[in-house]
Amino acid sequence: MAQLPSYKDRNFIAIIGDEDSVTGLLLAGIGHVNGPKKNFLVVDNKTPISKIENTFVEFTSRKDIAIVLINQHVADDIRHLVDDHDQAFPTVLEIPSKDHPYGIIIRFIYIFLFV
Amino acid sequence: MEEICIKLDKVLLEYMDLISIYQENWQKISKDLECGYLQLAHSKYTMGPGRLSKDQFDGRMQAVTRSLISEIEEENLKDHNYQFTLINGYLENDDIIPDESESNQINNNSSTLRRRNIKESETEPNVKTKTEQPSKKQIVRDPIHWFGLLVPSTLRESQKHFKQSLVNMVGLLNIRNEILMKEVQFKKLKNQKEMIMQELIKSKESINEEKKTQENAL
Repeated sequence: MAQLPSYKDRNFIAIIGDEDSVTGLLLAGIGHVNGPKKNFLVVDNKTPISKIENTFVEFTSRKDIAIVLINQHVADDIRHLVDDHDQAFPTVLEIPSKDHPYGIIIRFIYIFLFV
Repeated sequence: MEEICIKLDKVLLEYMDLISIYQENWQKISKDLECGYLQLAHSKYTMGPGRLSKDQFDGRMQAVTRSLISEIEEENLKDHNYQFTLINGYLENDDIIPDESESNQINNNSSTLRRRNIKESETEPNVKTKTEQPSKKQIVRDPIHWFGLLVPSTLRESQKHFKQSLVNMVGLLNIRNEILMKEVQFKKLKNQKEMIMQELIKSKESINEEKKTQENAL
């Protein structure tokens, strides 16, 4: 993969989620602001989907982000972008939110399809 | 052939083990997040409306918790051979915070409570290892102080749960990479097995043909 050599610069963990998820994970210390660039986005019911999409694309194209955490219900709104993201870095992880607990994502049936 | 079958079985068993560990990890993360959200909601109730929201986020925040990516040395596995590590502290290549002197003055003038909670990392020699050392003279600020000096204990509990869930999330990503590596390994072994099977079939066919020709000759 072409991006492997640049992974050493990737240190930040980004978060796209509702206010509670972002507040909680920022309390854990992942928040970073560098001028206009932030590594978090608070999504509420007034946030347009285009803004979520643009932020996701921005986070996944930045060279300093290693992991992107995104609430599952927010990821469902931009499912086409999340599914199309096949780069090693940044790694995208869907996390549950307060109002939308974790739903089982069927992913690891790969081997059984080929047995 | 037998060796490859044994290896395939071994990889499959390890794969299943990793999946069950993955599921267990997810349950831990869900529990930690649940407790974190509950304590956060309790803190919001205790502190009152508008005291715990995105408006209180510090506009100069610097990431205290970061992740480092390192390579795992595996044979012939180019993809997914990396691992995440969570670290606390600033890195050497960080830009110095522009208003650091200002924040220092504020810290000096503030109460002893704030001074007590601030840690200063000392200057350290540059050692090139897989994990980098914290940078010189960076003040590690606890994000909990954005919401006031005297915060309720439920907010501290919430912070603990979110920190723990973050550790588990990074662990989960490493397990996910191991699972993907196992898939690649399984596929390779299966391809090898199929090649050996085809060779065996070809050699059997050639032996049968030879026998037929010998019989015809007789």
